[in-house]
Amino acid sequence: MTSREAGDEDRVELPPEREATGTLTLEVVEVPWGPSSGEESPEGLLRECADMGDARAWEKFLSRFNPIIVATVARTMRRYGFDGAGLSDDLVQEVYLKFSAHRAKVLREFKPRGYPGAVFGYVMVIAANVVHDHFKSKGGKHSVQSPLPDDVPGPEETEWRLLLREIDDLLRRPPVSQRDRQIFWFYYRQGMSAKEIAALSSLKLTTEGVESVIVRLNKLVRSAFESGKAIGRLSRFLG
Amino acid sequence: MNTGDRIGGDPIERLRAGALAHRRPKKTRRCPDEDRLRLLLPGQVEPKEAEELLTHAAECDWCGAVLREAAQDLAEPPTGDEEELAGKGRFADPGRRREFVERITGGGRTDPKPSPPILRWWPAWGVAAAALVVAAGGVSYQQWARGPAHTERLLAQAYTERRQMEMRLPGAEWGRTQTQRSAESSSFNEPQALLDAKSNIKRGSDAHPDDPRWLKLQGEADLLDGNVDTAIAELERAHALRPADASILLDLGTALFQKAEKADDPQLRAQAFERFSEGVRLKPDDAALLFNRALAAQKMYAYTEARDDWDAYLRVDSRSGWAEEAHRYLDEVKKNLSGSGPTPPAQPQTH
Repeated sequence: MTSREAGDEDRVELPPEREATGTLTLEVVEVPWGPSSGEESPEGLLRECADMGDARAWEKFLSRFNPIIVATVARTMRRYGFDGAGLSDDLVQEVYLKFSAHRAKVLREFKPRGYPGAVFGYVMVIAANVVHDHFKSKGGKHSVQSPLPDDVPGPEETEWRLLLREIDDLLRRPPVSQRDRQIFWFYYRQGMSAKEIAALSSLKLTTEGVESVIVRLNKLVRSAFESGKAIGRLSRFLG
Repeated sequence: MNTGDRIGGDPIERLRAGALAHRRPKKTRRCPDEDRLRLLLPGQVEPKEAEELLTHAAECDWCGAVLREAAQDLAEPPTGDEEELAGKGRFADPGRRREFVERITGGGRTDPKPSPPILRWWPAWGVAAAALVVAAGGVSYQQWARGPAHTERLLAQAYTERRQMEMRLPGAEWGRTQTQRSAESSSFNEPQALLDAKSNIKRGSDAHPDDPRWLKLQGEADLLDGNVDTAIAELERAHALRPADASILLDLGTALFQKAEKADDPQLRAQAFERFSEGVRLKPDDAALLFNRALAAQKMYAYTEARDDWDAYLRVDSRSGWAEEAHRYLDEVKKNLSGSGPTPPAQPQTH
């Protein structure tokens, strides 16, 4: 995390969708995450594949997306403790069948919203969902379900829960936005890194933007506790 | 511990320590569908629903964990190992991909549609968003697009667009063989994919001069440029660094074969055949290796080996453009074996 304190002006944000005016411009778009010039855009390829009669487009789809689909399948399988190459091939095929099912319904549902890399992310999410469904149907145990160790040092649970509520009260007040509050809890409660939080395109922030929010809210929380504004519940509980 | 100690510590550190000690992922009836949660990553959820999902997940240990894992797994491009895994999988082979596609599309249209340039009406904010993210360093996919796997595809595409040799490159789709390079050949009439690949290779080789993947790709690019001697030197080096890589053996055999054709050197042809054979021993069903070895055998007038290899090839790919070529070569071989073809010169040894 950056050590400097960053205000709103330092954030790198994507314009919210609702601010889109509908103004159209004719641009040669150099898509930063996608194809090299001369290569078809991934959105265009998805549109072509949505026409199930276009075998050539599907061949391109398989050729282009196979590495990220295989990587996603392998990573998700590992979450269930599996690492078998044979099973991986079958699941990769399941993913392609999912994309083509119901006249490529999944592909038709993709909405270009201007998030860079969205097509690749979408393909990966669909692939991961197929693998999760597969293991769930077989009663597989996901790593999320694994219990945490009991001997981790920390405050008492009741005290911690009061602390959570105390801080949350602070974060629900202006000038903290709902999004910034979510980011704070993703970071400190769910243990996500700034990079992982920024991967949530719906938040519309870069890693630096997330870090900036966390630094700012950190300062807010510490300053509130130092000045004694935020220890009402804890004092009542402990005193 | 007295009250003062308990509330006097740094709240952020206590918060973090408490989360590690007391976070208990437990799914409840209020938890949303996990598939929907993951769609927050590529921004495929409507803003109102996204807001609800994010608010819930920020406070729910179960959904928070689902999102955390998804962000770890789905926000990074494939690693080198994963690219290698993909290269060994069922769908890495163009023949099997084609068969599968025919199955799911019911053998739909296969004629190439003209590829329009990426020239579209985009909402102004979409363009601005892309520019902002470039500036802000949202480059994971850009890194991937500049990586070895994508560069290999660019080279394969360039090969197919302007195929100048009978031998195959790894992963390349069939293309019609064109006439020899013209004297005016220059970067102005090179396929764009080749120019892009060269730019990636330059960057990759500068950063990793001893990486066999980049050496192999440099060799392929030189092969496409007709710089056979340079290609052989680079591919020999890649082979020395990674001797059990069948695709390097494929390229090395191809480069040796191209030089043999240019110099009409039977010894070089035999060396090329040997390299392909080493590759086939490592990957017996690799279509490109079987194809190239069959062709090398045929050019060496080793018709029995050529027939066996074409037969083996057609068992792994019976329907692609490559298969049509293989059938034509096989017909020639059979004619020669039956004595109805032209009389070959003395057959060189193939070891």
